[in-house]
Amino acid sequence: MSEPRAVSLAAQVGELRLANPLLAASGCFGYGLECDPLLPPETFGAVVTKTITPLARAGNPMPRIAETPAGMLNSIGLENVGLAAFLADKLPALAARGVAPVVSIAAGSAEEFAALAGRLAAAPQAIAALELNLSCPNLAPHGANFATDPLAVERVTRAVKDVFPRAPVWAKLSPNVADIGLVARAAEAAGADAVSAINTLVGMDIDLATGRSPFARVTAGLSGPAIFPVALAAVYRVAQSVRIPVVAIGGAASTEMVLKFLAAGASAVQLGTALYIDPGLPARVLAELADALRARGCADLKPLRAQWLEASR
Amino acid sequence: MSPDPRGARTPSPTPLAAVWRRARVTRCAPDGALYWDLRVEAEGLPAGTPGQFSLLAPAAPGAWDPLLPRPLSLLDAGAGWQRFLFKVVGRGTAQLAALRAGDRVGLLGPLGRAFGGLERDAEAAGEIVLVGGGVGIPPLHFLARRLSAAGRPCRALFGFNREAEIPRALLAALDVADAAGTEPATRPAAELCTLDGSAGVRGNPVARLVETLGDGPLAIKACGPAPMLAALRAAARAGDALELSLEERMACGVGVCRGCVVPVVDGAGGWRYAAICREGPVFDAASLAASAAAIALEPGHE
Repeated sequence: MSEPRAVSLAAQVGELRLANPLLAASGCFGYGLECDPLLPPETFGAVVTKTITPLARAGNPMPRIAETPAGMLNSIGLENVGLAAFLADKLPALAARGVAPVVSIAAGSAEEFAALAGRLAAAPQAIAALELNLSCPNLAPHGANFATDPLAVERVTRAVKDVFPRAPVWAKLSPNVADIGLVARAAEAAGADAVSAINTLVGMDIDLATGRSPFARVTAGLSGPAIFPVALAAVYRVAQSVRIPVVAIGGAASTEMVLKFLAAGASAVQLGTALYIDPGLPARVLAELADALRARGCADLKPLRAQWLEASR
Repeated sequence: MSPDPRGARTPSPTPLAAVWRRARVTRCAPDGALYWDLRVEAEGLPAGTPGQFSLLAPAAPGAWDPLLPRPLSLLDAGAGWQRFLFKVVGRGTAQLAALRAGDRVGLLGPLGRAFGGLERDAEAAGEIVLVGGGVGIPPLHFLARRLSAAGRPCRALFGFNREAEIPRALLAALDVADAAGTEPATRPAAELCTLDGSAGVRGNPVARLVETLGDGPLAIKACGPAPMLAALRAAARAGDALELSLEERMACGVGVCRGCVVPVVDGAGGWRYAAICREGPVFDAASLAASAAAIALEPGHE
């Protein structure tokens, strides 16, 4: 019996080379080491750390999560340790482990984004990329939702690019817009090295006993397999709209879903809520991706992606 | 209760020893009017301790509805196996109750911070009293048996609404005050309370504890409905060491999603949110901030 053909799962997001195309999504994997040894950070091509804001945030009061069919609403509210503790504790811990994270950041203005990025640019530890959280639905007032305004996306992205030359800058986009392709083009025009699509959808629940939403902020962010078709359409639309790479996010919870994201034009795929329902998922997807490549006679993901992209045009 | 930091364990993330397995169901059967007795086994499953829990995924792989796994307290556990006693309260637990021997179920565990006091000399002073209500009783039942086996006698006060709801699985391993033929040397003693008086003492276990309080300090370990825990905090005295196991809806079970938080006091007299799944579910009452309700919605973006 012959040895199975060797295949490479390496992925390329612009200039950033990843050992595999799976990333842990921001907000779903802490600062990278909390799930170790159950789910070591090295499992992923890269880890996107929990969104950092200039100051520490306690986040929203309870309740913070609710279940929907095949989905989850969250109103965590960007609870995070803040930039200072991230630089002092979290980033060095990852560096000591040999992990260069994709660092997710959020702020209230383009100037604040630039100040955050500037501080991270001066950090001695390796950073694989910056991901701009432009669309957290849980930030008040008015959601600080830059991602609904192409001009705001352009302004924030340009401000960050000006002060952060050391690694790629990814703009994370919201699905809660009329034309996500238009917003993606604004990020590209401002110099973004890639776009991540999508963040959570705006969702809501009502407790019939009270007639009110269980969440203090009323609406919440919907994630999980329920949003996958929306995310797939957004990734496809963005990939058709820009020349920079697309990192897919949104409900992927199986090898088939990861393959569909890659076929829609994504260079890599982030796993988020799915990690809660099956911590064994990343290892299984990687094994099944390798099997899929072998079955198609491909040595790596490139020809497969090229074939799908050709077919989609 | 007045916060008494003596011996209080400060919440901190515990090392993660949990494994993810497709566990094999060896038994799933109703017990009493409300409870189900579920036993699973899985290779490499570490032995859990009283107060810990596991997340069990009710949906078949790829079904994703319900999406999130359910946290169930350990009733008993050893290397490679775990046993739960749970109540059917919604779709997820109803699906778990439909499991049959031979079925597979996704399991992440054991998780969380256990009750203290199992170590000899850990709490030299004070009688150990376990106070449980309803579905909060299984982890205390586990603790009672472990304490008994370690030669550390404890008093258990367990409350139910009515006799028909009391699961036989619990009674079988206890020297219940009104049961005959038990062996006190090997079985921990428990006193049952029912709200309607249909079994044991009429009333609730907190009232029973207050009625029977002596002068010495107590090490109280409790799990049950939030009003019961609040009553216990109010009833405990300054010298008593009180541990509370908190229940909350969870997603990740390991502290990364921040979906199940409770305010705890920090060293500077302020507060911070601790993840119940990772820094709990067992907390020293002295470490819990006075009232979650006092914590207002965080103001707008800093």
